Amino acid sequence: MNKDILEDITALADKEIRDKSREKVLFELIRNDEEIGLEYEIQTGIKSLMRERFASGTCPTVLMQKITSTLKNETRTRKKYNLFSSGYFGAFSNHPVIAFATVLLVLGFAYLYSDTFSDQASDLIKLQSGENNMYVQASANFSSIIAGKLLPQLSSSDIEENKKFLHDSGVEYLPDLPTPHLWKLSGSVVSECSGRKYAHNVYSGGGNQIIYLFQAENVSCSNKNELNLSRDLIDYLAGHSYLKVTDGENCSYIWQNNDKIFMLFANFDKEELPSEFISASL
Amino acid sequence: MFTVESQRDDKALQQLYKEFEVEAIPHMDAIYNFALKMTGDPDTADDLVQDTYLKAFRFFEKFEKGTNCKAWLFRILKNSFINDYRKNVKEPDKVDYEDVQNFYENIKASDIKGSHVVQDDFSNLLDDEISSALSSLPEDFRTVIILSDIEGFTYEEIADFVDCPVGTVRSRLHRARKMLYSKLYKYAGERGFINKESSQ
Repeated sequence: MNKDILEDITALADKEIRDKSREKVLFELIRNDEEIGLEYEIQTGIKSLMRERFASGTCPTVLMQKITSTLKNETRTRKKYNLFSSGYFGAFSNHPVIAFATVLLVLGFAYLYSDTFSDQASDLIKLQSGENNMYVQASANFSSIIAGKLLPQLSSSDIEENKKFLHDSGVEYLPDLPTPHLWKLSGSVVSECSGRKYAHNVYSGGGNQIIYLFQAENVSCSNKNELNLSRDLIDYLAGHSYLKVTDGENCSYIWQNNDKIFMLFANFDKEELPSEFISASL
Repeated sequence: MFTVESQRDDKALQQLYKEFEVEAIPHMDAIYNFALKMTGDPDTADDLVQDTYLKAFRFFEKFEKGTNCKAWLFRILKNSFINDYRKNVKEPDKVDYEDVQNFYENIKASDIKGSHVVQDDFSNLLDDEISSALSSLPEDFRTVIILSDIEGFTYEEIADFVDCPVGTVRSRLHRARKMLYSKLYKYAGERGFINKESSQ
């Protein structure tokens, strides 16, 4: 049987034949040719069956309410995202981010200033969403640090002391703590997400320069239930030295070494940042 | 700096949400239905729909007003599904089109001529059985069936949605319905619903 005719029968069943004369020919074939008649019956029959059985599916009310509530909250939080409560530090210790603030902070970085990003960086950053997302969390934490609402749990410039603190606080991986020449380690914070502990460090330098470093194992970042990152971003990092996002005076770098992903946020932009931090961790 | 920008955007944000409520929220049933059919799992479908709407809201400023919002939402959902969910979905045994072709060519039109084969023989099948047959189709084929037969999109809309020529949509639909038919025919046969005598 001619394939074109059979596919035209499908189009006929879908009322997609625009040419009236062709339509007439096809109906003629349906009447006079058993196989074509069967084809038409099957195509129309399956179509009807699908529509009858499944077209009435509705979204569960609970889900609909959850989504609309999430979106409404997001609009509220987006307005207020720079006004974290004083309890935010506590929230960081137990759960690194407040859900809706997170999305908005990414928007703050990725959307409002998207004209300063390279297209690729902008696109990759826009894909990061959800309260568990590492970039979303890092953005929120950096904002809190800059606002003075998040202070190190351990204030020390001693590398070994910081490593011990992170280990003793439950961080299971061995954190890399660079020792830059231009900036000094200020301390550490440990956060928890989905039962796992993560290492955060703050560096400082002259002129109120603040650097925030968040590192996590690749395996956690690939897990949707833990610190997830979009697959596109993970793939990008696998093939590039780093991803840089600039935002006015601020900048952030994202990179990975063999088993960890790093996010560095700074309230300034200096060309020494990659060599001092990224090269040191590779 | 963020504060200035966010305050400047307050009113715009509220307006944006109002427009989103009118344009996008009404399509939630269709989006959920599609997510459920694509994933075959209610919990995963819930997550997928939530992700879709969150992304849609984030990118709503990019949506061209007056164009097909439903198709736009479906496109976001499809991308989310491909990027984040597909690898986690347990795929049922897939239908092999070659097998279907052989099966189909062996059906004699005279065996079933005059019967309303689909309506009569398949009407007693359970929704779960039909769902299972649909899930067994390869993703490209399942997608066109859902979009055409369940959601009522035109070929042109589907072509835009799946990013392929209209001719490919037509061809996939043709083959997809054949595959579904063969699968359902098998189910119906196993359950004794195929009654050839009555169709003579």
